[in-house]
Amino acid sequence: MSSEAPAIETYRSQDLYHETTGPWLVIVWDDPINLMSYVTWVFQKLFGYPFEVAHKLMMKVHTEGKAVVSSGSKEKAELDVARLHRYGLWATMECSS
Amino acid sequence: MSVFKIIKKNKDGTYRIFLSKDEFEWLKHESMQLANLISRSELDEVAMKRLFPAGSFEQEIEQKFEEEIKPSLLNEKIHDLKTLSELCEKDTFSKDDLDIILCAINSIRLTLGTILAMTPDGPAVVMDQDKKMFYAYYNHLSYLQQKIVEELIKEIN
Repeated sequence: MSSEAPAIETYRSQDLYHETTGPWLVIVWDDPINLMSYVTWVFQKLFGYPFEVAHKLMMKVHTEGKAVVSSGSKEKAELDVARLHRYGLWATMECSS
Repeated sequence: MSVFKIIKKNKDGTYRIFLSKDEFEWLKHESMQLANLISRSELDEVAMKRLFPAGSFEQEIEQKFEEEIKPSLLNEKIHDLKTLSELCEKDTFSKDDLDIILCAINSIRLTLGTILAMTPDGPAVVMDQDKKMFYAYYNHLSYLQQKIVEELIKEIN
């Protein structure tokens, strides 16, 4: 798993499964410990995504190493990162603008 | 043919988890031990970093995250682990209980998985007797977590 900051351009061209609502992106990184079903459940629980969306996002994390799972204001991104950390997922935030 | 279920929803909306008394005792012990290690800052550094990872690669944002968010995250994780320890005394669990159980179990799995240097192919450490025991615990918790998640995902969908 890479620990380098990813280029923002990477996300602009990706098929995101949520509507970008602000400049701050929340990215979840792949890890070999968290169960796939658990990650899917966390996405459903925290963001209210339907199963299909949550599953696709989880698969994106699993196969590509990371996925943008939410976006918005800086405060929202901080909150989302903290909530994901509480559930044991590694998430980071960064500004796309 | 009857299929053994490790978790079952009761008619009143609560859940039962079918673990033996010894398994609950073990879970109680592990959760308290991890809570104590975290609160005394005695947990292995690598495991600590996995439980409380960076919130940003940008130094300024990460510093703010460290100062303003990590202390409450630390308290929440300790609280979840201590609550799991208390829940091990109960016979039935609410949905909120299951939520905390999942969070706490995941913290224990992350710790064990980090000690074992888990890769997608399995542990990357030399497996002495202790590590073999950790790996058995890790797999048991994975099974338990999987079954609880399956039950909760059924509820959501």
